[in-house]
Amino acid sequence: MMRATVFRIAALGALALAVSGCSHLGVEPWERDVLARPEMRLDADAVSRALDDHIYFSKEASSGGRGFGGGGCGCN
Amino acid sequence: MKKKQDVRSALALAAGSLLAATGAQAGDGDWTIDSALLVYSETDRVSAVEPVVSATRDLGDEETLNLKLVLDSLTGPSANGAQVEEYPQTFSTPSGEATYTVPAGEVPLDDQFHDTRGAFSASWTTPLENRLWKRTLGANVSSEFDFFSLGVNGALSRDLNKRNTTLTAGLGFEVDTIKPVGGVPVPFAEMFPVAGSKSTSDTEDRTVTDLLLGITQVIDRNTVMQFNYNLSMSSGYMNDPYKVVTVVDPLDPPGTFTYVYENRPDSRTRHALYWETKHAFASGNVLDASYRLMTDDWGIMSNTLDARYRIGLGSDWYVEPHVRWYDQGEADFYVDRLAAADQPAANDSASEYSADYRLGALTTVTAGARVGKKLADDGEAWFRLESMTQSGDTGQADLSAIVLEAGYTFKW
Repeated sequence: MMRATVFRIAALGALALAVSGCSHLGVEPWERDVLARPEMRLDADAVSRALDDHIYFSKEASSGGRGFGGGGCGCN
Repeated sequence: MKKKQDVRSALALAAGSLLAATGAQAGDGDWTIDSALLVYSETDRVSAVEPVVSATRDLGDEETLNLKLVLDSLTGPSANGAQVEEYPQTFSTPSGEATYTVPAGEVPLDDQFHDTRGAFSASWTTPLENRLWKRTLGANVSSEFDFFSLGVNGALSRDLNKRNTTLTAGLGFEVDTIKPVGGVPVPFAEMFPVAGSKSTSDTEDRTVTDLLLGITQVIDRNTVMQFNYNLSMSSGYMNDPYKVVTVVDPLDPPGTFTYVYENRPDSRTRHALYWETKHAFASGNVLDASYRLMTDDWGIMSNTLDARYRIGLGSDWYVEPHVRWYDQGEADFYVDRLAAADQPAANDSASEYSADYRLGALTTVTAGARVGKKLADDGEAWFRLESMTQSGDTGQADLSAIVLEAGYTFKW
């Protein structure tokens, strides 16, 4: 219980810090040449990533983080 | 060869029906088709063949529709939860209609395991208000002969700071129905005699509610970073109906074991923190690194590190080495074996024990590489080969597998 609370506070703190710090970061619209490359997208290779998630979901006790962990599987 | 052709025709059929269902006009180029085939093979255990077709339609003005179909065919023996012993061991099959004997010194595997899964998902993303807001609505359905899952999800995202920052909030809700072969086992009932070990109910269910909060930040011209928090709450039937726990009684003659069905808590709350960064070097090569910390109220804590490095080879080809390292601690109710003195009475649902190695201390190491070639019109063909090795405290956990994937992306 204690651990979960600490974890939650840490998560919120990090998020707040990230949002406030983020206004100093970034690029102008005309500087997006590299970021516009398909392989720089965070959702690149979505099909392959989903296959991986399915393997690890059924072989380990963890899931989620990147997106929703579900998707459903009996996974015995 | 026959299998290969079956898979190929299944893929073609899947792509065809997916497009037919949406009234797509062949050749108009508005659909991006991502197709892939996974072949997963564990040494001496489960093998899976999994074709996927994902079709994304650009509806203009940043509006997109994605439809995805996954088929999954599994065969081969799977660990039943009992430990390796110096004596032969006999178990009942899930249906209770037969028994199987595992030789001394070998991991008890149930070779009756086979399953076919079909899953379909759809998601629709629409820009709202000045295109700074985006809404995504999704639904998914997944079906196996002993499992059925239905889910819906929605997310809102907002671009800030000249679109250098994106905040995302999402909610997901899923209902699963579990219909074990041979009926739902009574917790801690002995595997023999079969008649007394199964409850009168055929099905059980559970719900899963997910919350996702994320921030994506452009750091500089070559670097983008993502930070997510994912809360997942499950409630209902969480047991694996096919897993037993070995009970050892020192008063029994050597080589005599009792096997009882496991029982887990009826709820689980998981917290996951996820961080990912992509950085393009001056050479054009891209490093993709991620870390996930997960903890839950079952007492499990895990760390996942993943790194990919994409190396360009000329203008079209690339190679991408990949390593993944995963480590988890055991659940509070995990046991290798139970002493007879601790054996709960049948149907004592207040007690919780499982010997499923996936709830024990476990390390997974995956290493491999992907090779791809860019094709005209944003198309791509790729191939991936990886080896996965698991290790833990018991023989059940020692597992090695080969992961093979081939994919082809094209415009339709």
